[in-house]
Amino acid sequence: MASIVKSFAISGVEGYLVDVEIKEIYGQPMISIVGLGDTAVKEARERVEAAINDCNYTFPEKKIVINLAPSDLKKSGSHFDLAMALGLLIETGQINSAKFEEFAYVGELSLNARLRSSVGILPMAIAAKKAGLQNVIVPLENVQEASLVKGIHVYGFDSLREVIEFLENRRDYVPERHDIHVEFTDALYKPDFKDVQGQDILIENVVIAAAGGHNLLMIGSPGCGKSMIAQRIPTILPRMTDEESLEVTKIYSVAGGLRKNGGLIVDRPFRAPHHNASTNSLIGGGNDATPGEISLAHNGILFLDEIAEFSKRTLESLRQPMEDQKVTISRVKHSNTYPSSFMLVAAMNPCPCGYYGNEKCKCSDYEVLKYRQKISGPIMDRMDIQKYVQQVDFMDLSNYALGKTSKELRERVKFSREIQNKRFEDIVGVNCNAQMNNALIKEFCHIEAEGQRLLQLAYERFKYSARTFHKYLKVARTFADMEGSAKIRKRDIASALMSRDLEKDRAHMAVI
Amino acid sequence: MEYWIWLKQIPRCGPILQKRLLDHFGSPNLIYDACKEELMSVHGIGEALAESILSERSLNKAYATLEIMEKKKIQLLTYMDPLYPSMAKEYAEAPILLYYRGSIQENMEGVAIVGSRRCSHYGKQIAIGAAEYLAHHHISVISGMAKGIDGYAHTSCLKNGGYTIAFLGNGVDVCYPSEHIELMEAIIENGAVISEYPPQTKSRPSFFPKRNALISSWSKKILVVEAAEKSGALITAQLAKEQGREVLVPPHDIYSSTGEGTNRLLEEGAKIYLHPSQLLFRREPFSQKPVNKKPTLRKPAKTKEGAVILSLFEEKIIAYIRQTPKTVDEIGYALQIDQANLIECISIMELEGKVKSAAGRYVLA
Repeated sequence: MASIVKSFAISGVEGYLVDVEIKEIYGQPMISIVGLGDTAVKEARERVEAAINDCNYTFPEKKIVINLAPSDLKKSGSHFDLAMALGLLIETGQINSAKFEEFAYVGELSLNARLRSSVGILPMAIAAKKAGLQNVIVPLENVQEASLVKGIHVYGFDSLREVIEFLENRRDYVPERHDIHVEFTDALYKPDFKDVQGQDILIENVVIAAAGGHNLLMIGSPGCGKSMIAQRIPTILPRMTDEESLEVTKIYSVAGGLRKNGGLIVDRPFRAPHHNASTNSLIGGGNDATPGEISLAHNGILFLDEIAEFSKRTLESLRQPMEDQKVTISRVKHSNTYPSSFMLVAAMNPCPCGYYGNEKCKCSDYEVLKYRQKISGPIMDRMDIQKYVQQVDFMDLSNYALGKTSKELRERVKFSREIQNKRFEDIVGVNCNAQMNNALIKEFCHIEAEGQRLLQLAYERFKYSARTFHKYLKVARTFADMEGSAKIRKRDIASALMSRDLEKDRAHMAVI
Repeated sequence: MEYWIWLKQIPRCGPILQKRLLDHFGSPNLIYDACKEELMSVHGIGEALAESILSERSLNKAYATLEIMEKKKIQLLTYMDPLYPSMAKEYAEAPILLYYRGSIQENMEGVAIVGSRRCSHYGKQIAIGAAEYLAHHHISVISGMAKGIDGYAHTSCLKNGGYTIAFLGNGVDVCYPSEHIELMEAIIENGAVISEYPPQTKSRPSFFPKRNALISSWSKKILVVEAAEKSGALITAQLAKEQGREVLVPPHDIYSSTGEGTNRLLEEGAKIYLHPSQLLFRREPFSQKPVNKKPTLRKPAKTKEGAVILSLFEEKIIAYIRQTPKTVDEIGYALQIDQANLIECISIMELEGKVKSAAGRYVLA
């Protein structure tokens, strides 16, 4: 009878249980691994043989078949090594353990039989819990990550020898103490909004963007502080819920971002890919359809600096994931779906030379317009808030009051997020004001009479389209939420109407 | 028509010789059919040139050009055409054939507005103001569709319902600079783009002086808005002087490099440009209206209590931003108005058209 050892495989960000079946058959000495494994799986034979020899056991001189069931799903990774080695030793009767069936095994073997860390441990641990498995053996370096899943016992070992001794009851398991609970503190963040001076109006808009989940575009000349502000946005977002943290950690686990001693990710991700990034690196892709920047920015911030320099195709590819909050990557071998709910923060120069509005800018209006048209209408449309970042006179800095701290701002964001959470409690797929559709806008955006009058005025003056109007209403809704107002007041409308600088520029340009 | 195209493209035979040939033979097809001796009887045509004209005798190129022209709706303006302005013919090197898209008016009378591609805000204002004035007085604006001053002149003219002509240094089916594609289409709609170069010709630095000569020869007056030390606009001004056109030049800051060339023109005796009425052909008495309309202050309306406070702010803000554009932050710090009130106030002022924003800064509207 074949020996069966339990392990896991990953598909997308989800893990599933795999039975590693090992059978010794009379025949030419060889080892054959079946079950749609990739090269890393097939190469396990060499590692396993070396590791078994290193532990002074004999590698069987018969025909060996290893099957990874379910056999019709593609599998990848080197983490099957441990299960294969143990299975071989059990199948050939070299070790005797009454309890080996109670465990699932994950880990890559080195040639001298040490256990190396693997990627995707968190989803595997979750899969173990789902499958009703109580005990999981993982490499020592992955214990923290696996321990994030409550309700299972995680055993971490450093080598194959230790695992065997443990299974044969020759060694007791002494868990290493890990402080897995990481406190969310300000000390974790070096950057703070109090460093930003003389940009109060902009910061107010950044806070609104963070509070309502609105995408933000900052326009400014080189060196005016766009990137500085963007880096500080994660510091004012409310901390992630446990569920959100787990989602993010899963993605990073699969993407290999947690390799050593990785625990739960509690900080909201901040991803800033360079404008040279390929479409696949942004969206996800590669041979194994691995997550891209937009998934790594899940529940956090995707910052596209110099957005006008990104290739048009790459930018366009963001549209669908932004709408669906998830992205499906299809490749020949794999098709994976990853979550991608992020806040897009972008920065760009106002014109080719970068100094539009300044004396030294000599760009013609046509050039300015052409430069801005590099960002297509649909993408621009998704940027609810578009603000200029003004150059602050360095000599004047002392005149300005010190900025508000991130902590203060975060409290305000939190306050308005709580109102929104309540509002959208029963609505699937909507968590913040920015995600409201037209029907929801109608339902939740009640405007006071004076505000209505103001909107009318704006309509007559700027001839806004209905679509633009809805944008303003959503932003106005967030302004009202910041102060806990149930209705949208006149001042909220007035403030919202000031949140899209770029749109107004064209009116003053001498262009056809 | 194919004979005209053929005549225009003969190498080493410039517009002056071409016109002599036309005078002698009467029409291009007769030139095409002429024998060597007949050609040599024209003054200035020697044996070598006559032989080269004979060796060029093929209409294939011309037919190919005609085919492209039909596809792209390109028309021809020959020297004999009544639409060819007599004023333009005064120029000895006026080309015998022009390609154009759009429509050419009869008895065209226009004013050229030219200037540097990298222009200052001041230059931009002058170009826009002058073109607007000309459009309102039904005078065509002529320029070169280049970046900067040229582009603004065409744009302002078209926006005010005027007729405008652009002379190109490339084929009329090529758009250079590429960002002017919409402008080019609008010019074709309400004017014409004209070039002496056949369709599909790409622009070359050596083509532009010839283009500039066309601009000046078609215009009665020339406004050189802004030109640095070395600038194509200066070439146009030079040619215009040679052609006896009136050259007008606005004064520039003597410390700025953008106006060096134009200030030099003034020094050399060009007419100083102070008001667009100088561009009219029949001088009207100097307008009493100043060039810049200074914004008039409106009395704040005192209706409700809240409105009174707002208008108090308004007065302060208007006084503060009168001179230079300011950011909202700057206004807030200078006037010590708290942020929420300030945003509300400025937003409403903008809606009421009292202030406007550009590049995130606010100025009086």
